[in-house]
Amino acid sequence: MSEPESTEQPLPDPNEFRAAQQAVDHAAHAAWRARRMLAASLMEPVMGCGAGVLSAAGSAGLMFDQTPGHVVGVFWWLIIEWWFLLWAVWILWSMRHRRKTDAMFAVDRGTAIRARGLRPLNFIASTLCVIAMFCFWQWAFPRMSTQAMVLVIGVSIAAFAGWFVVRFCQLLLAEDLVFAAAIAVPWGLYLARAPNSAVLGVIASTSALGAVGSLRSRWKRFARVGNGSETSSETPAHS
Amino acid sequence: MSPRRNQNSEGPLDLVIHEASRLTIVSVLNECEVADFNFMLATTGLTRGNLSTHMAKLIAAGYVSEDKQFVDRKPCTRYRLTEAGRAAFQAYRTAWQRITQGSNGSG
Repeated sequence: MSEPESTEQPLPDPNEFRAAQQAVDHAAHAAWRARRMLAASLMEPVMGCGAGVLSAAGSAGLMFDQTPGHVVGVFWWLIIEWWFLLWAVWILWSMRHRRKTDAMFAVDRGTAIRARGLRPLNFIASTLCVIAMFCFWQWAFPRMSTQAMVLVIGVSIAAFAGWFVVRFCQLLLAEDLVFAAAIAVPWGLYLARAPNSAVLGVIASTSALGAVGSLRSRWKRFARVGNGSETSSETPAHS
Repeated sequence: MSPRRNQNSEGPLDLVIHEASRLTIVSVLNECEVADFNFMLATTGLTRGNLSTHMAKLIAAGYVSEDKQFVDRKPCTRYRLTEAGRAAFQAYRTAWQRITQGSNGSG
C-alpha cells in the first residue's frame, strides 16, 4: 500500500491554510451541534420517564400515607396537581403544534423561540405556575414540619435557579428541570406527612395520566428524531 | 446512476468536500444516519438557497443521497451520506490531519 505523498505537504498559501482551518473548525462545531441535538432528543425521554415514575411514586406515597397531622387543604392539592396536569397538557399542545409547523422546533429550542414565539409563552406560564407554588408553600409552611419545609424550599429554589441558568444558557434541557420540580413536590409533600384522602388519590391519578401522556408524546418524538428521521415541512406553514 | 467524482478531488484535499459549506454539511451528515432539510438548516447555519445548492453538488458527486417525499402534503427531503461520501470524508480528515501535522512540524 502506497502512501499518498502529496498529502504530506502543507497548503502552500498561509491565508488559504488559515481559511481552511476556520472551515474545519466551523464544520467541527456544526457536527458538535448535530451530536448535541441528537443527544438531547435521546436524553429527554429518559429524563421524562424518570420524572414520571418518581412523580407517580411520590403521589402514591401521599395516597397511602396514614400519618395524621400536618393537614394540607384539598383545595391546595388541587392547585398543585392541576398545575402538573395543565403543564403536561401545555407541553402536549405545544409539541403537537410545533411538529406541524417546524420540525426543528422539536430539537432546537433556540430556533423555536425565534420561529414561533411559543417558548416565551411557555416560559411565562411555567414561571407563573412556579410563583403560584411558592404562594402555596407560603400558606402551607405553618402546617409543615421544619424538615419538610427546608426540603421543599431547597429543592424548589434549586430547580427554579437551575431552570433559569439552563434557559439562559440555551442548553435544551430546561423542561427537564421543571420535571425535576414535578418530582420534588410530591415527594416533599409526602415527607410533610400529608393526610390520606380518596380525593387525593383521584388527583394523583390525573396527574400521573398527564405525565404519562406527556411522556408518550416525548417517546414518539424520540422515535422519529432519534434516528434523524423527523418528518417535517421544508417550508413551515404560517397561515 | 454512477457517482461522479469531481475533477479537483484527486489532489491532496478533495475539493468537493474542502469547500467550507460542503465540509460543514458532510460533517453534520457524518453524525447522522438520515437528516432532513430543516435539521441541516439548523445545524449548518446555511441559508435555504445555499444549502440546496451545495447539496446538489454533493449529490452530483455521489457523496450524498436524497429522498424526496410528501408528508401531509408538504415536501420532506431527507439526506444521507453515501458509502462513497463517508469514505471521501474519512480520506479528507486523514489528509487534513497530515497537512496540519506537517504544518506544525515545519513551523
